[in-house]
Amino acid sequence: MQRLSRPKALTFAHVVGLPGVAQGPQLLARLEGRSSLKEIEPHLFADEDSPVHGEILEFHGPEGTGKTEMLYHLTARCILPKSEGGLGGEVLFIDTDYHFDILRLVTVLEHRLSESSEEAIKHCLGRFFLVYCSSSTQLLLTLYSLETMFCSHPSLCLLILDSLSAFYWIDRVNGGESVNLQESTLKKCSQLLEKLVNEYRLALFATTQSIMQKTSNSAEGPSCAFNRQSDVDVDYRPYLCKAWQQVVKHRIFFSKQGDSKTSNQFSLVSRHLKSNNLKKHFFIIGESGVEFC
Amino acid sequence: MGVLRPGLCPGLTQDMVQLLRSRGIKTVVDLVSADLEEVAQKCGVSYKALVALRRVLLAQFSAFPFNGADLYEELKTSTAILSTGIASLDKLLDAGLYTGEVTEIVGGPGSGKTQVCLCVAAHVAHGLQQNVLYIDSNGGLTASRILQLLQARTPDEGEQAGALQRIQVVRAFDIFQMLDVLQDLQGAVSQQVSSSSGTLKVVVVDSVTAVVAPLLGGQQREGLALMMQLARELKTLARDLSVALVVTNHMTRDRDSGQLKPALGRSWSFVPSTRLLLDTSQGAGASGSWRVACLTKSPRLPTGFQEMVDIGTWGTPVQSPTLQGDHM
Repeated sequence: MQRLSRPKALTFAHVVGLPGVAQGPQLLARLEGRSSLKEIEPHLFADEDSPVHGEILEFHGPEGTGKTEMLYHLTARCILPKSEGGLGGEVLFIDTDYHFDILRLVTVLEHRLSESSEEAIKHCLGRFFLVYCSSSTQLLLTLYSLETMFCSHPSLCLLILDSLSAFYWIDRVNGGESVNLQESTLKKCSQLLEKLVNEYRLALFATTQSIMQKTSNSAEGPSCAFNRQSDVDVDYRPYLCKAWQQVVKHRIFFSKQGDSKTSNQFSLVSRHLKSNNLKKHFFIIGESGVEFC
Repeated sequence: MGVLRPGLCPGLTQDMVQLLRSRGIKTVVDLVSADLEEVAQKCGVSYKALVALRRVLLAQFSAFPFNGADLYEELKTSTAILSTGIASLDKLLDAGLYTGEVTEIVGGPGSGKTQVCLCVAAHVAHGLQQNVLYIDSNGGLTASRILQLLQARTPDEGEQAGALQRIQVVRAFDIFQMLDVLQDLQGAVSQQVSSSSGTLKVVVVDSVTAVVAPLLGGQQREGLALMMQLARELKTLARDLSVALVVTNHMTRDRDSGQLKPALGRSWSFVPSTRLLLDTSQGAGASGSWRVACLTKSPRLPTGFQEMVDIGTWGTPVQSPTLQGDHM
C-alpha cells in the first residue's frame, strides 16, 4: 500500500520515445557532464580520474559497520549544489528493505549546507528519487521501467541499490531445488544493471549484507598477520549469483574499528577487482555523516 | 505476480495470451525482457500493440519513484516520536520510539523485555491516548499485569478502563498465525475500520524469537525465508501504517566464541533500525530490579551508551544515574 498515489497522468506520458534511445541533446549533456568517481568522493577514489563509463561498486559488511551512512554521505555529496561543494547531480535510490531514513539524510544535508533553510533542503531533495521494491521480480521490472527515467534525466549520475541481498533467502526457497532457478531473477537484474550502467554512464553503489557465517579458519593460526590478502577476505563468502560477482568492479568491505563499544571509528578496505589494488581507509560517523580521517 | 493471463491488464486478451504462450512467453518478466520486434514477427501480433502492452505492464507492476522533497514533506508530518514512559530509555532512544521503524529489545531471560513492552503499552494507551496492538507469542502478557501498571499511573477506574480498551491483545504462537495477524491488520486499516478511541500507533511483538527460532537450524532454507518474509511484513506495516513497531528478541550463545549475542542470526540483525540490549546489572544497585540498557544499534545516534533502568518502579518517571561505560 503506497501512501503517495502514483500520478496517473504520468503513467503513459513519461515514456520518451522508445526505451534505450536517448534524445540528441540529452545524450550530449550526459556525455559531457559525466562526473568521475573522484569527484563523487575524493578520499575513496583518489586514483579514479577518468570519467565514469559505468562503474559498479559493491559495499559489503556486517550490520552496524557504516554502509548506510556511507550511502547518505555519497548522496549528499551528489545532490548538494555546486556552490556548496557538491555536484548538483541527481541520485536514484532503490530501497529493497524499507531501510532508508530521509530524516537522517536531511540532518546530514543541514550540517553540510552553509545556510540550512527549508528552501535549500527542498532544493537538494528535489534531486533525489527513491523507489521501494518488495521482491526481486519487482526489482527487475522496476529497472526496466527506470530506463525511461535515465533517458529523461541526463544529470542523474548515481544509482544506489540498498540492498541487493534483501531477497536472498526468499528467492532461494521460491526457486525450488534448482539453483539456476533460484538465482535467475537476480542474474537478470545483474545483467540489466550492467547494461543500464554502461549505456547511461552511471555509477552504481550496491550494498550486500554479510549474512553468511564466517568460514572457520581452522588451518590458520590466530596470528595470520602475514597473510594480508586473506585477512581482508576472511569475512567475505560470495553467496550471490555468479552473474553479480562478474559485473562488480570494486568491492568495498566495511568493518567497525576497536573493541570499545562506544567507539565511532570505522574502517573500509577498497579493492579494485581487476588491478587487485587494496586500499584501507578510516572514517568516523558524526552528526554530519561520514568524515574521513 | 508472474504469469500472464487474460484480464491481467487492459489489452491482454485470451488470444494474445495464447499466442504469446505458444512462443514461450509465459510471464510478465518474459514479455518485458523480450525483443518485441522479434516477438511481433513470430507471433503475428502488431508491434505497436506489444509496445503498448509492455508499457502498461511496467506501469502496473513496477515500483514508482518518489521525489525526495515530496517524501520529506509527507514523513515530516506523519512521523511521530512516542515516549516509552521510561525516562532513561527515552534518553537512549533520542526521545522515544519512532513511528515507521522497527525497534528491537533484546535480552536474556528475566532481563525485563516484557516489562518494558507492558510499560510502553500502558504509557501509550493512558498517557498518549493512542491505540496499541500487542501480539503475544510468549504468554507473558496478562490483563492483571497491565492493570497494575495503570493503577500506578492513575487511581481513576474510568481512565484505567479506557486505557485497557485501547490495548488490543492477540495471541500468535506460530509464525503463520503471526503473519495472519499482520495481514489482517493491514486489511483492516486499508478498509478504514477505525475505532473511535484513537489511532493505532504502536504494535508490540513479544517475542519474535518464540515463533522464528523453531524454524531455524540445520540446513533448511525455508525457515530463513519465512523469517525474512515476517521481517518484510513487519517493516512494511511500520512504514505504511506509521506505527512504531517494537519486537523483543532473546539472546543466544555464539557457537565459536561462546559470547552472548542476539538470537536469530545475521540475517535478522539487519532488520531492526534500533536495538536496545537489556542486561541485569552487575555489582552496584543489587536490589534485583535494576537493569542496564545499552543502545547497540541506531540509525541516528552513536552506539554504546548505557542507562540504568529500574524495572521495579513504573508509572512514575525515575531519575536514574547515567552510565557511560564501554563494557557490559
